Amino acid sequence: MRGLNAGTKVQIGAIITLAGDRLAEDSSAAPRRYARKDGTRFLSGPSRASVEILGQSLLKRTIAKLRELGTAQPDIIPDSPVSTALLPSRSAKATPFIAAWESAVANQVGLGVELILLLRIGSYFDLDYDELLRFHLQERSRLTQVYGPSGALDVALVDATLFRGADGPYRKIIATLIPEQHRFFYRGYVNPLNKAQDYRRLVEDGLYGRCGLRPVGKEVAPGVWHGTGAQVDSSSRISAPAFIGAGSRIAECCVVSGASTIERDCEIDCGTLVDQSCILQGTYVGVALDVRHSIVDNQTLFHLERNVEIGFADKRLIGRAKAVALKTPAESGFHGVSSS
Amino acid sequence: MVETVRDKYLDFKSARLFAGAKEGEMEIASTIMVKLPEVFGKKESRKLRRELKQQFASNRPCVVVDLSRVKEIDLAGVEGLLNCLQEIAKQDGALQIGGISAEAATMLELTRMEGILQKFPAFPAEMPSFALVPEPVAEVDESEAPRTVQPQPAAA
Repeated sequence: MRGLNAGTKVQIGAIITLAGDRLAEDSSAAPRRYARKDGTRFLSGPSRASVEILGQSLLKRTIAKLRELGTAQPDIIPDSPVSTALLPSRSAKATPFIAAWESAVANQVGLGVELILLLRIGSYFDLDYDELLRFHLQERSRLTQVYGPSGALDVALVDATLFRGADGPYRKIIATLIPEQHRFFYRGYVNPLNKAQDYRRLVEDGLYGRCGLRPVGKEVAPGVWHGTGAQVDSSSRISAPAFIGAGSRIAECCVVSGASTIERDCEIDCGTLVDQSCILQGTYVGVALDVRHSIVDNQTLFHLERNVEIGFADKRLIGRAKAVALKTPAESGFHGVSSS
Repeated sequence: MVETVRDKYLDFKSARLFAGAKEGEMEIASTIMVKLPEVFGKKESRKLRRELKQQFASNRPCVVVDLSRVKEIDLAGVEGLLNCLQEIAKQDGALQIGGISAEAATMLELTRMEGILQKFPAFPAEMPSFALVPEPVAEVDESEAPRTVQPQPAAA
């Protein structure tokens, strides 16, 4: 389906790359360096695009923004494991990623679009795509790359008409455009999402309204958002700001405080405290536990201050939440929201 | 995992802390050193229980628990540690944490064991606290006993 931007009447396509692991070192201020034996880190790689943050993943949020912009259905491709740049180099070897990228460009060109928005989801920013588009057209640019305070952001806009009837790989055409690219300087909010602490900071910034990331749900009390079907026992205390995701259950006598988030389909069992922490989707947290300064994902807990990751084989502590058929609040013994 | 640090480890400096005490009047309680291994689960927990029963010969033991080597500790290990604390409490003992790894600290925080540890009395005032100090590196002599970490009393 062709995309048409209502403001400029330009047909736009989009290719989204899911960023792999960054090769940057762990430069957190935490007291110990952290990395798994295979060099990866907690919440790194393509999971950054699919992990839900305040009720929706970065990928889905990006697609929603593109829909507002009026782009055609985007092509989504996983990044190369060693890639660090948005635009593939002219001399890049024929890898599965390069093949997928070339195929995606061909697909977008086949849709007849005039511009292609190239995006790589690995960091978060509040870029106004309309503003970028207007700049690109105003400058009569053939390639516009977005730059943030720390360097190039993973967003570029390229003239797709240059690809029509191309004789050879599209990446070679891109390579010829790079020296004459226009730079769009973006001075808004950026979160690199390089490490778990960045994720936590993004969640806090979203809850406190310091960036454009908004909770997906209903604000049931000032600063407290619930997703669809979230259930909180009346004996539990939820301190604002907080987010309880769709389908999640907070059992009796729990405390959620310190700008904590409980994402979709989680279960927090009786008497547990969640403070300054994020519980990722589908996680079970056991009875009478203290989760502090942590991100918890299924069977893994990452402590943000100690910079340490712990795996759990014992599901009584932390594990995958079971899918539970939603009952009415009265049937479940949940009598509404108690928040402060 | 468990060793008793008897008065022979107290040096002259520590003896001076008890200035004024007549010879023979001074009672120096034994300190029990509990060093948990890198992986502390069900098997290690049972071993700890057996070793502690042998060491708790007298009332009011002073126990130093060193968790600095612990990289993995599951619920069985936490339960084992709790049993250890129960034994100390039964004997009206005192507890000091000699060292704790980030992994162990996180697990104890998660399971609210931190609060229980804090409820134990500190070592008696007349008892020097122990800091773990590695022995100086010496030439290896196969005839010598295996090297152990010798605790030294911290300054009062």
